[in-house]
Amino acid sequence: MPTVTLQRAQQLFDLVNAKVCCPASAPAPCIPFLYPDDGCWGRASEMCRLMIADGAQPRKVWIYGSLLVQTSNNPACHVGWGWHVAPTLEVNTGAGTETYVIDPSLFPGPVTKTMWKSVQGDPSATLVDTDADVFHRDIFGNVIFDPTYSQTQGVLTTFRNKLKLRSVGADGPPPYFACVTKPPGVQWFGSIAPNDTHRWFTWGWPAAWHVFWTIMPSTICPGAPQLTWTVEVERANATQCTYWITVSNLTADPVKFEGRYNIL
Amino acid sequence: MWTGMQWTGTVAANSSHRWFTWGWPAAWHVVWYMMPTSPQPGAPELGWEVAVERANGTQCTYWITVKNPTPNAVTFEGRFAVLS
Repeated sequence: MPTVTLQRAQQLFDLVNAKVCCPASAPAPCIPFLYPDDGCWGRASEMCRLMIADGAQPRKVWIYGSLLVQTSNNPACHVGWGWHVAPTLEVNTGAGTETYVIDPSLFPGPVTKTMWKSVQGDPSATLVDTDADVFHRDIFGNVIFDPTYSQTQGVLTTFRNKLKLRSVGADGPPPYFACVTKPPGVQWFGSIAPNDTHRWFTWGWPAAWHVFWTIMPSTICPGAPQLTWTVEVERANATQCTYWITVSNLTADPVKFEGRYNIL
Repeated sequence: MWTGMQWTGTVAANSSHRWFTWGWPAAWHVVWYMMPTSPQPGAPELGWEVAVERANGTQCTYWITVKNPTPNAVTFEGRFAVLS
């Protein structure tokens, strides 16, 4: 098999990851990485198509077992699978050749097969490598091909729609904050409706502190600015102040975000 | 905290312009501010607004709109600070 550098593997990862669906609108031809529940074979097929079109020669790795993956992209904070699949690349690491997995539904970059398997909750799970043209493979080895990518498009459509339905429902778009530990410097997790403006306040801050406020979307949606904000301040008493932070959602989709502070 | 200059730009008289800068780690707490490099004493030269896009799980893109309320073109430095 031809090998690539780890840098090239990262480029190919970025190529497919850039196709991630905005959860609430999920327009074709985006890839619903943020719906990890199901549809991995459609995502893997589309990723292979994109990588092949870019001159790469990916393969696939299939895993079979009692799989359980922790994720902030499901309201239950985990998904269970009987099997899973993702594209692979042979990477020349300088010290030899190693197979890396391209799986944006689980990782922010290429990872080794060992790492990929390790987060899926079943040390006894079995791995099977195939060529990229195997569209679907069951545990018994029965395979289906999809040379025109028509079945791929059908699977992607199905799970884009599931992602959209979840995102516009009561749970809102991913990520789900119940699954996330609040990082240092995050005052609150917020959610804002499409094209809406909402104001939050936070009180009891020492007025002697020099505090900066920033907003960071948690909901992934590449291509345009999502949020902007303004800060106002009220002197509540001799020693304390209240900050009023107004966040505007510039998009037609709901957005979750972190309200962050820094004390200078 | 550390600081830097991301770009230099010019805004025409009485107008605004938007820049974007991508690939910033979303975990960083970044603030943006502008500094005119063409002195015009007596009145404010620039204002700005920041918007942000979450591009993927680890990166974001900042969109910075710079406004020039003066009757003259203003050149400036687009500065940032990564807070800690």
